[in-house]
Amino acid sequence: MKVNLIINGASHLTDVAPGETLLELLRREGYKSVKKGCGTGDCGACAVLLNGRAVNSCLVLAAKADGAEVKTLEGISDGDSLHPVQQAFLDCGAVQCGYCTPAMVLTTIDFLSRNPDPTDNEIRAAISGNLCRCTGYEKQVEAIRQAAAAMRGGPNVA
Amino acid sequence: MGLPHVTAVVRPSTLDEALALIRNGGGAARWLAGGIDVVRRPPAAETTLIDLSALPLGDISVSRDGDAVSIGAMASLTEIQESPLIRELYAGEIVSMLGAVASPLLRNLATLGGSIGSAHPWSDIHCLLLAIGAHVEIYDGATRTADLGEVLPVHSGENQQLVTRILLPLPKEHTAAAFEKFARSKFDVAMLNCACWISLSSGKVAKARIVAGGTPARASRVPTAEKQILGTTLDEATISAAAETAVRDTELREDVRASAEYRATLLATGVRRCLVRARASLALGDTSDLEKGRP
Amino acid sequence: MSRSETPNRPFQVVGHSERKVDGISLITGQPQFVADADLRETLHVRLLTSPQAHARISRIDTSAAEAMPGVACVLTHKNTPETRYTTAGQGFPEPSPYDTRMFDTKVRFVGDRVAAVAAETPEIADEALRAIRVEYEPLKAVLSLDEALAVGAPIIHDEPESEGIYEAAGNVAADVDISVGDLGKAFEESDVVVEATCETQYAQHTPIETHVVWSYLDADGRLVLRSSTQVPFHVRRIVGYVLGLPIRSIRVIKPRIGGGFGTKQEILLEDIAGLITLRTRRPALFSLSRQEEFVSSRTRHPMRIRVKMGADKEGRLHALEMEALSNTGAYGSHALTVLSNAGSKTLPLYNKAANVRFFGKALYTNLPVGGAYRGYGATQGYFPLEMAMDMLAEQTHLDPIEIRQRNHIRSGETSPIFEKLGEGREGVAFTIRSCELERCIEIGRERIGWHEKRGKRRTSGPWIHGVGMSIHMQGSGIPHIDMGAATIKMNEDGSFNLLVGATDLGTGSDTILAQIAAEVLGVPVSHMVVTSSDTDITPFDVGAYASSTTYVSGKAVERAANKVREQIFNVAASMLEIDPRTALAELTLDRGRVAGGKRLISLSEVCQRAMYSNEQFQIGATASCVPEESPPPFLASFAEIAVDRETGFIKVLRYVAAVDCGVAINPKMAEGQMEGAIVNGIGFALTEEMKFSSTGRVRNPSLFDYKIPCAADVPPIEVILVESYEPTGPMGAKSVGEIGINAPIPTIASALYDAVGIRLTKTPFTPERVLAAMNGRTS
Repeated sequence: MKVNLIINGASHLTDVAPGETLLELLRREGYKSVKKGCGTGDCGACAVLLNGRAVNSCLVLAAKADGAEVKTLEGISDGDSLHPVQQAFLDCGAVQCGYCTPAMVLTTIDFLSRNPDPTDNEIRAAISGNLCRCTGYEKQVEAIRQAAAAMRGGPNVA
Repeated sequence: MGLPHVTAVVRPSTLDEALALIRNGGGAARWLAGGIDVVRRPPAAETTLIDLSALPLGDISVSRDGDAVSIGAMASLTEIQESPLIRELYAGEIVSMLGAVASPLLRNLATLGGSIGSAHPWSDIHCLLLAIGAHVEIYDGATRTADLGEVLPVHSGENQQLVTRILLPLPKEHTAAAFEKFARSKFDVAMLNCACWISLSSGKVAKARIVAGGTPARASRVPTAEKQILGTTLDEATISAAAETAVRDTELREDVRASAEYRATLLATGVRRCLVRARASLALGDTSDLEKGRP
Repeated sequence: MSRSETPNRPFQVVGHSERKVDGISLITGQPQFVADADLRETLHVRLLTSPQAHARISRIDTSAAEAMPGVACVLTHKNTPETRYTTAGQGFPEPSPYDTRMFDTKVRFVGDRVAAVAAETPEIADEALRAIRVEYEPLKAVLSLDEALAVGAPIIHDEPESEGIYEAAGNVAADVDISVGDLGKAFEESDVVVEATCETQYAQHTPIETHVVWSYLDADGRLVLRSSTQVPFHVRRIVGYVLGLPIRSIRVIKPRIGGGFGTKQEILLEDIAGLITLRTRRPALFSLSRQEEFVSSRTRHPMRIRVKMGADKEGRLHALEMEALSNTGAYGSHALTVLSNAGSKTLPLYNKAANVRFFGKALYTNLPVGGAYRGYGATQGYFPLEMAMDMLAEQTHLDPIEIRQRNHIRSGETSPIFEKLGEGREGVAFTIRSCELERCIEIGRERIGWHEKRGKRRTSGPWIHGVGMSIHMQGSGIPHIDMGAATIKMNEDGSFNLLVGATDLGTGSDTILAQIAAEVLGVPVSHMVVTSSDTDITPFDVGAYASSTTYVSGKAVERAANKVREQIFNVAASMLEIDPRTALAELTLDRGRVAGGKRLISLSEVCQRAMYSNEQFQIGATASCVPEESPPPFLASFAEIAVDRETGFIKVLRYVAAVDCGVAINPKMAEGQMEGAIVNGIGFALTEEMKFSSTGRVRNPSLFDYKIPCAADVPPIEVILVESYEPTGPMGAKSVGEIGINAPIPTIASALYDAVGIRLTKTPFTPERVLAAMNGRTS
């Protein structure tokens, strides 16, 4: 069957098997930043923005996403300049192996768009669906705090 | 690819279309709400999925008779949490329960109708909604209201029922609800959950519901414990007795998360904490021992 | 973080939290992981695993699977090599038994390999697996340490071809027994004797990227394995050995990988993928599902360890004994070495005990296989060691900190254990040259508020508070055994290529090695282009384990950089018309230039001359490092917890870790290693546990049922880097990758005792166990 997805602003009309997941479709279409960690919605590494909300793409049937807007990490940086969340992750040392990072960044972008001035506890709860085994979450929380401040204060809010 | 036995995904735009699809599909058609359970428990035989997202089931409003908040079955848990109508219900107890159900990623996808229909025995939602006396609207050509307990699990085979709305009764004066969840980690499913709903008349308990869930069986009421607190002011001794009764009269079993014996401790503690909190909400009697104590 | 100073000048690059060299590519999601390759034409591999814990395969019929359209290759014991080897990624000869066959005629745990299928799609491969008919002749299974020890237990490795098993008839994979002094007499002489026996559970590393390899033949027909591995050179050697291929025909490349923590210090998939590619001439992708990652990859060795301590009235240790029983599962990879490390990385910490004994066994069981896991035996050993120390403190009426201060090792001291207990052979004697443990303890105790909180049992509602502590050492590499090498070559813009075998798992080793080289050569990190972990291009390195990368590989880099520096000075000397014999003393490297007196030449000028114009040669050098010692990092760990007296739940409120890892090459990254290790350790202490059915099947092989910490489950982890200077380390550095994971269990156990007066001796400290202990029932 055919589905139409708007991925990172560009319209994609593709053939999908009815049982195909959005994760599979996205990786097949070349969006390799979307990672598989478990396939059952437990680790969060596959998270993408679906109509602006962060969801586990392994749990979304591609067919169900027909007509939806999808954002992956490939669509986040603007040419050469990084999104404030990406910049903060880099500056704070919040990326170790980087496997959970794309999903973590997207989840953060969704979260900060709805809660621009969060407490640390709110930050931790917001990324609780994104499991990380490398960092202990410490520098990720710091990065999100920093990104939030930059996005509140700076003129270039992404 | 993904789920090998899914042969088609169709998206009806009216309730009647949806009903026709499920009826014509026989056992080979299944509802697709948020989709989480479809992926986690994929169909084992050729199945058509009926995508409900185009149906007018996403809104949250006050019911026509003004007695309840009416939530469309396809509203996501996040949308429900964010709704101003829900935030204040039962002193925020519903929102705080939703906040502990699962991670934000899952809450963005999970729908209330799907959550109820999937009938997970550990369901926090089912536990609290049962306690507060939630009803559902079912469409079978016409709309009828039914008890939460009448909703059939979608995987039971008897799944042609279309739940369209969930009705949360607006709390009247002198009513309160409380919910407790015990889990190994922040977003694990419950080892045990429980909830209570109390309604006073002349300062005494006139109506009560006490619910235990994740036992590991699905949430159900404990009528003997409920009866025990009727006509009382929920004093310390009554609360302890009701907690003991709940344990005595609830079947508790072992699974990967907890032993039966430990569940007994959790149930007793949970019922006690729920009743104490409800009492505090109702400003009944001495409240000096109510500090829940956040470490 | 503070900058450090060498005797000569302040660091320009080392000691700074430089941004990761692969940071941009990771933060923009570049397709750099194994499964991100172009998978057109690639076959998909799926594994058939055993439903039985212990059985002979009496019949296996793959004809239906082979006949299926889209199936390219089916492997079983009938058509694969009979060679016995070890899957353990260790230096040759590996100190692990050669007890594994690619596909065996016997299965030894639920999840053991039975067959593999390669097909055009994963779905066809799955269908083919279902079409394979296997008949098993079940054997009695050994499902616990006690069953393995029992007289008449079934023999798990009854095959004569296996080698290196200590005593197959008794299911003993490995045995260790070393001692110094006379323990019996020493305990008799002691005023106080305490004993603690602790048990740790089956746990899994759960890297977010599971094991995966992509194999293909390159244009010259050589086998290329692009693998998510910690040990590319060991993969090359062992795959060559198993498949009967010369090493020169194999290339192993590690691209970016999604974590390892030890489970990828193993040759688990590459043999199968390699063989499929050789037979079909097609690329093959083999990845483990999350369930397979839990069951069929590697786990932490569950252990039961007893520690007995004898001391005088002042709490000074006189006798120290550790007896360890390790459950190595169905195969013996890392069995001996993890067992040994339970003692070798723990007992030297309390070197005041003149009489020391470490003994133990690693036993086979019909359960998932233990392998390397961060901490590597020390994690298990510190649990009873620190508990015994706490018990000793109580008996001698000393504060837990006080008693440790009376007994822990210091700079200038040694321990006989260093020499007695190595990795499969004798160890190496050495003296501690850097140790800031005392300062770590002082800083940590103040930061957590030890004095104000210990013994106070503050309550809030049902919560009772407590604080606990523990101290630790680890090692930096394996002396005389580990080897790392580096090659540096210069480019005519004044930049360098740094080629290292060392393996970056996300740990940031590419970056810190670049920092070391950049520091020596006076350039920014951006002028150091790193290529790592490609067996064709980069020189040898044992790989990422034993906390070796900073200390061993880093030293190789420093040496190579110094050789290159000398070459640069020689060229510069002729350009500046200085006598080359005085060049080294007169010239310096600074910010991309050679400075001599008042004159400056840019590095690019130097290289252009060497490359194009005058007495041309490639400025470059290779150097290696085999460490003579294993200077330990040291850690003082503190935590404040609250225990719910009604339910037994433990909440960790604060965690403070003061660590001495020498000079921190990259402070943020050193902190990151500590933070990650500690959170992993908290999971191991509180929630992680693989559970088994009565037939040996894992009941919870999913992240849904096996809970690792999420961000809301842990408090902020406060890491304080307490710098020392390790003279044998590159720029004064020691390693830091493992030590943090050893602390949470004993620290939380100590805090639990402070809060509610119980000593839990089994992990994880589930609420159920805590409550049962509080209520006085046995847990």
